[in-house]
Amino acid sequence: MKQTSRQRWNDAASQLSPGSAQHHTLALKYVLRRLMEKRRARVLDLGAAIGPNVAFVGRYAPKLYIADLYNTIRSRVGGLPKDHKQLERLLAKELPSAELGPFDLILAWDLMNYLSGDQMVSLGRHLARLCRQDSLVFALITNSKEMPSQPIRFRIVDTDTLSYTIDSSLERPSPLFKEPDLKRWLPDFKVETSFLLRNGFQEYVLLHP
Amino acid sequence: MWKKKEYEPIATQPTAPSPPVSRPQPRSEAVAMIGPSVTIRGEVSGQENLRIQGRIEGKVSLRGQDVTVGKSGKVQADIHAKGIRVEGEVVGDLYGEQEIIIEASGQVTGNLVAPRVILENGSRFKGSIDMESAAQQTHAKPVQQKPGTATGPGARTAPPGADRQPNAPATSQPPGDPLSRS
Repeated sequence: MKQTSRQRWNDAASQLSPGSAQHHTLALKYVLRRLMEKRRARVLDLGAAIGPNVAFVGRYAPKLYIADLYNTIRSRVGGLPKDHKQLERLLAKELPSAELGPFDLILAWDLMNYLSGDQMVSLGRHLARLCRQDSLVFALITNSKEMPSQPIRFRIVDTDTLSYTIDSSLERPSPLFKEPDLKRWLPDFKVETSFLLRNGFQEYVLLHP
Repeated sequence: MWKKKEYEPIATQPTAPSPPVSRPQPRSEAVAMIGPSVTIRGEVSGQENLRIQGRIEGKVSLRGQDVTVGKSGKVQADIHAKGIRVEGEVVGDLYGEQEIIIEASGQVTGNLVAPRVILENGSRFKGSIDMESAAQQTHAKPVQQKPGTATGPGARTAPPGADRQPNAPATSQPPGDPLSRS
């Protein structure tokens, strides 16, 4: 019987923490350590508002911006538009203005898996405007052939652990981005470090030099 | 016989007049309610707690009081209050002197400023969260310098990050330990 990505996720998670949907993270601790070096750090979370994440990140950065980008755009136009100009307009509207930044850390979670190359270029350009020198982006890129049809909701359990919620049982093919893809589409950032996890995700820490 | 003296004032020695004592205003525990069929356009202010089940467009200013936006409440306004609880929909900025709670059914688009912010599982929120400005306003105290603490530009007595105080937990169920404890 074909195993769905949800089952594979659960299997992978159960290997790490039986009975719970959690997995190990290495990049989170990395970016949080860097965040501690900043005073009055600002964090931009591109994902949905998750109470424990706000509580956790709030210990390091008293100012957060929750963009809930995917859900917001989907609720407005039904999905991420392929039309370049329309996407640009939406990003300009839904991402915070430059006055609210610059941000020291951007939590992209697995959003980039749901973007095409062109969409990634647009997003990267907008994010670069919200960064300062040495700002970081935390992104999760899947190495599995299939992935949930919409972004996973990650919850920070502690500095070493993320738990996840998959809202939909539907799946779609993964884009299987590799590091050269990120370098090509995100020229304003460079890969500072990355970690391959057992659950099929590669964690990337991108630096705005 | 006993009753005769019951209300007599007690004789006291004349004393120097005491300075006027400012008594705290008794806080009203009553909750005013704006019903589901009511729409208010303008500013709502007062000295009692408020539950909003209807619509408000404008501004809500109930400093020192608690405001609850009920499940059927729809607010397009900035809200200033001691504590703010959202079960319905709000588009506007929320300023909580103590805390802001967005319940699972709550949806907020705007900015939250409060020393303590709680987003319940299932709530929807988009905007910024500022737990620093509010904390500074409500807990502003004179800085007490510890003996031996270096001051002045460039002075540093601790490694980077070690001088930072983690913010107050923003949820009733704080997640695992931050790095500073590990």
